[in-house]
Amino acid sequence: MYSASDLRKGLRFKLDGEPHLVVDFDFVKPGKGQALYKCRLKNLITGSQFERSFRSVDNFEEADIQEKEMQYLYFEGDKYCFMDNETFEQLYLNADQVGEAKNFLLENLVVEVMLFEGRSLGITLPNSVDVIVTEALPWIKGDTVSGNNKPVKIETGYQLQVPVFVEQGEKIRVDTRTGEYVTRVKD
Amino acid sequence: MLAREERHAVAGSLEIRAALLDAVRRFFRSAGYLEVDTPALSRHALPEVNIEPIVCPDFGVLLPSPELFMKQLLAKGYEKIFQICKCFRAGEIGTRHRQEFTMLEWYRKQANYWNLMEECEALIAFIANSFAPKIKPTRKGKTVAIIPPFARMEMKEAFASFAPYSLSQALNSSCFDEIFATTVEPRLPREEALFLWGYPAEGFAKTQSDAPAFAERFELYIGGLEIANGCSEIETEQENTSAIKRSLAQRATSGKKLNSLPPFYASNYQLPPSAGCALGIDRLVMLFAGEEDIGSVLAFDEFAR
Repeated sequence: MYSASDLRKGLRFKLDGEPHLVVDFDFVKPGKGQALYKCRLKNLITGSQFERSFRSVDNFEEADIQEKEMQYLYFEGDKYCFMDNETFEQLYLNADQVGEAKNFLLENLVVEVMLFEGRSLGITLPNSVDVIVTEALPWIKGDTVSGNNKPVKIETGYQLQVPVFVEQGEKIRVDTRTGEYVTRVKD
Repeated sequence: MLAREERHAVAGSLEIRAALLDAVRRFFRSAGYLEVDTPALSRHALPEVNIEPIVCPDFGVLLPSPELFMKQLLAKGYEKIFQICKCFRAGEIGTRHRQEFTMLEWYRKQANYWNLMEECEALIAFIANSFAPKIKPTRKGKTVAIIPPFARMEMKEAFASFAPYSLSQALNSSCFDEIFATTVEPRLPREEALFLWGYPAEGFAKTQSDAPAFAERFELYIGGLEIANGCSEIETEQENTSAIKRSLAQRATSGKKLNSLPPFYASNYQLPPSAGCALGIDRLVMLFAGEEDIGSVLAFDEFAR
């Protein structure tokens, strides 16, 4: 059980049965009024954010949230399969649960899975991944018409803009948070 | 690199604080006030509804305000007194609050809350002048104009202008604090100073004679930041007894500890007609240093949340 005085940025608790994260927090007490704990909360299931004030007498249930490192194994049917490398326990997530992360899910990649009461709330990728360019138009030296970038496809099927000198078969680093090209990688 | 920048920021606000305290003392001395120094550690605290002192077992309490002793000096015949001191409020930690903070408090005999609004305004203008033109009061990157007379807005009007509910709706639903904090306060003018008055009756402020549900109390906001709170003081034992009763009853309903009353308040309370005002020095430093977080203007800040 948490009390209002435990509230701070980053605290996670259960509100109306669902896990919430305190994104922003302030203690306010205008005039001679009562203390209010002003929070910006994020519902960790729906992702929606909203403002809510609590009074000092309010209590909050702890949210049973676990963060586990798991390795992505394979995609089968409509499920993504992950494995806990310590317990060998396997977890299957659907496309909704994986979300945008699917663009950079490479086999054997280690990701962080957030679980609420055993249910997955989503996965967090490493900030960058190295991927192979599978489709790219060849670079014609002196081509100034097409600008400095060109679209390529990477091994997961995701498309992005890269500098014109990047060739098919090369490895590039991509920022998973923005989905943008970072650099070429030489093995 | 960062450490150097941080050091620079602290030095800036420390210098502003020193100059500000100096200006406050010059203002009150030239207005004929006596600077006093009353205890911070006391055996008793006033039973405020929403303020908790810091209790030091076996020693007493660190006071949330010097009010308790300064009013006794008024009763003893001192007519114009001011004090700059450390005050303590348990559990108050936020971007505008610390459990220990510096307060300016002053009391004046033969004055009411309207008179103190004028004095408050003159004090702020005096301080702003002493910093001008180099240092200007700033909130969220914008200069706040300090041009007396400041606007005076009744709480009723503030609710009508800024809140989705009227003041009486808010009071009837016991949501005054929430609605004020979430919808009224954030919409107060950002580039000027303003007095809010017509607060609901509470605590130890005198009630309005023609509207006893409201207090003779005001708050000064500068650029939307709450800076000072003033009121006409309760004069008679009868008023004092009912204020204490109301306060104790409200404390009891919210399950708060009922401390023993300071002797002066327990019997024979008597004050000449007078008014008092309390002003947060750290907040004023924030304003002139252009800082949005109180922690940025403290020399040391161990208790940030």
